[in-house]
Amino acid sequence: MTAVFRVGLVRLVSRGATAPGTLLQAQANALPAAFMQKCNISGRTMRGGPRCPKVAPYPYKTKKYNVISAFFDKTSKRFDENSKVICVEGPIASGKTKFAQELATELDMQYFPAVDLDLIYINPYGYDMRKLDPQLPPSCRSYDVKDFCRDPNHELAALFQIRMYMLRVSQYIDALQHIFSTGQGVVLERSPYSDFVFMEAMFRQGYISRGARSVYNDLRQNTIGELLKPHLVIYLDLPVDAVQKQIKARNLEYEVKSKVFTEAYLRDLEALYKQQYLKDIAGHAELLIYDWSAGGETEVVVEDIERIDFLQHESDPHNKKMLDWRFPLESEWCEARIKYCNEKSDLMNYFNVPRFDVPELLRSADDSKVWRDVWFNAPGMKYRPGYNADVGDSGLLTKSKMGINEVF
Amino acid sequence: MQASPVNDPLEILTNKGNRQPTFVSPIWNPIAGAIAGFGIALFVNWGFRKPAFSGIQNHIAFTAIGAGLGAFIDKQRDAYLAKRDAVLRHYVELHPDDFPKTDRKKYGEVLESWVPVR
Repeated sequence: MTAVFRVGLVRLVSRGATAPGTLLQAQANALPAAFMQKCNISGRTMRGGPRCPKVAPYPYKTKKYNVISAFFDKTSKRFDENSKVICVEGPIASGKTKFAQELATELDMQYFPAVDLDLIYINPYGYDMRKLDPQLPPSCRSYDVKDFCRDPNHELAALFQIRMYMLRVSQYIDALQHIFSTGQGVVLERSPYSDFVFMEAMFRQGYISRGARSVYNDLRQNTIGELLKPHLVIYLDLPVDAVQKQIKARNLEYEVKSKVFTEAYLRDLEALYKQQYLKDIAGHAELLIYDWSAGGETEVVVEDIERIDFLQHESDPHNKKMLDWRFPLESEWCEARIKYCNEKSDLMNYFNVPRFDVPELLRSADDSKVWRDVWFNAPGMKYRPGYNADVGDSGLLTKSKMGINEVF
Repeated sequence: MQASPVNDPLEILTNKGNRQPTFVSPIWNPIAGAIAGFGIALFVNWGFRKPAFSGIQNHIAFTAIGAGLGAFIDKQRDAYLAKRDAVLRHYVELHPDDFPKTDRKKYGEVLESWVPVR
């Protein structure tokens, strides 16, 4: 019975086109235009040109998006088939950066580089806060990835990994802001979802204590549920010996000389990645795994991505895949956008988990006092960004504008 | 001023114009409001980690709002008291029997002389 209506409708919508000779031809003529929804990611080559956004992007870095804005500026109108979160994962020195950049260029997506502690240690004016180390007590000194490679058994290793996780969450929220406000997809290098792999490997090698691991897991549990899982995870797979070869080939001094990247550590990383992270995320996201031991062609990956049908899970409301991204109502799209664009500080506040039982994550009141006095008297740190006369900000007498989601 | 020989309720409720406001009393609330407004502007700057006097237009606006609020409170209070007195006066005028004029007495006339009894 339905077929009758369908044929009728097909005839109706295909009117004006060349008159179909047979029924089959009628369907073939009409379907691409009327019924077939093309919802796959498309690359620049396939489209034959740059992406043309349906609606101009919202200037989310300079303009707030709150409940009142949501009355005037809806969210889902900017979304198209390329509005996807893609995470590139893989072991150390596997060529993620180059691949992710190429992928972002080809798919016309926004590339987010891998985080490191420079985001904390380089202040908004470009002053390197690590220069303050001699004035600080040992518990408050800087400890970044280079220090970790040099001395992984340092007591600040746990704090280092927790900060990496915080930065990844922060960056992921930025990425969500971007996709919600512009409809442009994002390509991230590693994500908060895979960060636990490093923590766990460090724990297995004895670099961080059981208590610190428990704090990390508390923080993760408290924050990870606020984010929307990626649509697509691409894992660049390298066997352990290939990783070690790549580290040597990359020849970064702190990596080559480091005692961290032992076979055991790298094997742990690989096992955790494959047996826990990929297994877990595959329940939500599409997963592509490539043997990248000899590098690879980005074009091939793009072709594979173009073949993934992201809409196939939509029809079944019980399907867990892409569940985070199913917002039935426009108001829910807008609420999610408000949450990431306007309430980032609230989301970051979920890191305030009161755990006082792990000594290496605490600093004494005396140390904190010294740190506060030194840290907030460094160049450009006395006031919030944009208000420091000592590093050349001017017009302060009448200035009252504040940045959006600014850390101060 | 000579005290009246009788207690007249109407006279008590009437402004006889014989009490001048002090220098401070009419400006006290506006000034207090202005200081509070200025203080709030400083506090907000401190809270947002800005220099104390950045965004001076905010200081000016908060100060003006504070002063205005003080003057407004004064005005409202005066109007309230005037209205209350008027209502009472009117009531007394309507019920003269309930509010007779009474003679003023001194305590000496009210209190009995104290006789110690042991």
